[in-house]
Amino acid sequence: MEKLLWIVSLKARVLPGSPLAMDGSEFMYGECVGFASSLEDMEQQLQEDMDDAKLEVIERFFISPVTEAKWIADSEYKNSILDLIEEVKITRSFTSGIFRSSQYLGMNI
Amino acid sequence: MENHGALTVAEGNHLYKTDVSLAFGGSKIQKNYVLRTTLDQMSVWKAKYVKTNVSPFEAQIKTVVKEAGIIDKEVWVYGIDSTKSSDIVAAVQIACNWYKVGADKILNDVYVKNLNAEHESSMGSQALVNANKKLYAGTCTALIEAARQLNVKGSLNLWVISSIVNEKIPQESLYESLSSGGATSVELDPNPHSLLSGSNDGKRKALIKTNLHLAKLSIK
Repeated sequence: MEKLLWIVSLKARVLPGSPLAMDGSEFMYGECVGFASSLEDMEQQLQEDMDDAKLEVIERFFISPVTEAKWIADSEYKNSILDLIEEVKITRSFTSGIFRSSQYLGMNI
Repeated sequence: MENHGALTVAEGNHLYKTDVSLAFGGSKIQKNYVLRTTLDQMSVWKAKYVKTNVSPFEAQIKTVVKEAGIIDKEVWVYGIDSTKSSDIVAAVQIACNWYKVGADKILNDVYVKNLNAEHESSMGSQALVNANKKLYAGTCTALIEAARQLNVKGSLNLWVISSIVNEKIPQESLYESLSSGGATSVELDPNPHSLLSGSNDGKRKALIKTNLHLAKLSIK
């Protein structure tokens, strides 16, 4: 089956022992990109990646093939998301981008 | 303007390298002679992070051979364990030869960002805190010893970038370990900082809120 490039934008709880537990934040916000044959395939890859990172997905804001993700153009993180997409086009492996911690976001309000 | 240098330990991705201009109160001090060191050997480091151009060279200082490279006009030396004074001495000598400056220029300001023990996923949280305390204390001791061997006088500034609520080493544990490693004082910058930090395995990165601490290491 043909695989498309998918993107998910999410909020996740930081579980104890997560490599991203660095500033006491309860949550991380970010995007992940990978090639998937279906929504279920994308969800499964996301779950495996989140388990590995000791993150628990609380909310998925968007999950779709990149071609349908019109929201990227309006994201304030557009440049890093586009970099992530380009990276995954080369590596073809499911990859999470730069997360933003809730403490970090709290500083920038 | 006077030229300054800096040494960093335990660097990861060069795209998120440690900001060596950080100082208290939001001021910035530019550094001209920057030496960055990684625990990983160059091949491991490249596999984790690089799609970039490193101009490698192999440097031999007495009997120690270290791989080094130049990235963005800065010296990187690989395979440096910051708890080993011999590794620090070798790295500093490579940088001194490259920049043609004295060791004091490089060693006066040392920066470390979220020093964290390897294999954290296999450890419990208290074990990780203990391992990290040992790392910070060992780094202080090794820096003082390296400075002594390199004939640097006076004291060194060790700038530590770590959140006061970092569960991998909270502030109190951090200060205990710096003191036990020989720091004569440790201060906290009251202004929080934000920065991009990566996990040891290079797979994860996040923008986080963090704090800057300054430990003074006096060279005996």
